[in-house]
Amino acid sequence: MANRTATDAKQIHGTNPQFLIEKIVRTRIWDSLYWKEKCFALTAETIIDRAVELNCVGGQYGNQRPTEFLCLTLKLLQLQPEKDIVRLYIQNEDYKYLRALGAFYLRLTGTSHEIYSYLEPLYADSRKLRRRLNSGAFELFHMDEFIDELLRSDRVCDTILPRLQRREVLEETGDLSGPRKSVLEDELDEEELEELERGSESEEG
Amino acid sequence: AAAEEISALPTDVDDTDNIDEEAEFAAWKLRELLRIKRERAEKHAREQEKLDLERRRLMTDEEI
Amino acid sequence: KKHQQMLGMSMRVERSTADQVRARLERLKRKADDVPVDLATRVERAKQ
Repeated sequence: MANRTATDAKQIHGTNPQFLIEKIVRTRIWDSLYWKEKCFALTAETIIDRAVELNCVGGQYGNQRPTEFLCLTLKLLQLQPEKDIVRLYIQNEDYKYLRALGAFYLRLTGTSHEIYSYLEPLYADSRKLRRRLNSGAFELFHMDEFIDELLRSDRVCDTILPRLQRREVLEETGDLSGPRKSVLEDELDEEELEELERGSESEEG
Repeated sequence: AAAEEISALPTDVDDTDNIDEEAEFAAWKLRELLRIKRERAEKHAREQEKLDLERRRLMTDEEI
Repeated sequence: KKHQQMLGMSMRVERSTADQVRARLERLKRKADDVPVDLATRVERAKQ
């Protein structure tokens, strides 16, 4: 298999999973050296070796070159690993870029219920991530912010995210029990929140 | 050549964790608090809208 | 595609199992944990 999707892969959101990455970007990935040299014949197991070497997330940079992060995402879309495996990527504690990759992949391919269930716990992950910007420069942000983008934005890493059902809809239908529970919730008091509110207001003013 | 130019940009950042654990935790806590605040505001807005809708439904045509 | 088949390459990639993935993660981690020890001992040896 070179650029084709695994023959036993299921359609995602009614289409070939690879199509979740726009054609023009896909073509650039297929043309990239990293794809040709480092992604050939990877499996859901061996892709881990590549993922732990990642040093940034991002979409395209410089002269519209795809990041390695995006190349590995396309590879996962080809391979379509079992849900259990994707969960292992996400729940691993040791390799933050593998976690980020797994989270991005799940956001592209998972059901709304899976996305909330497996990504929201990562709001508690405060680790730093490096992001490659379109300009080619790097930016520092954090895992929890990346997760927030995945759950709230339409476009992350130059990729259009599939529609995600609104959380409150899933709460009403009983698919999710109650609102998101923050790990901070227990130690949080109203005073602290009010203080924060005042703080952010004065910042704006 | 293009690749060299890009990597030569003096714009790299350090993603090493736990350099200043306390500050990193405080920064995360602030982000999380802002998210909680945002979620509460959104919930409040939704409830407000529901109440509004209910009120309008109870109004007569003349009142509208 | 034909070209690759002629080269005797299988077009089908073996599917990994969750167990293989779990084992690989553990192996990687063990290896990572070993590195500092190795370095320290190497430094020690260098001193002697």
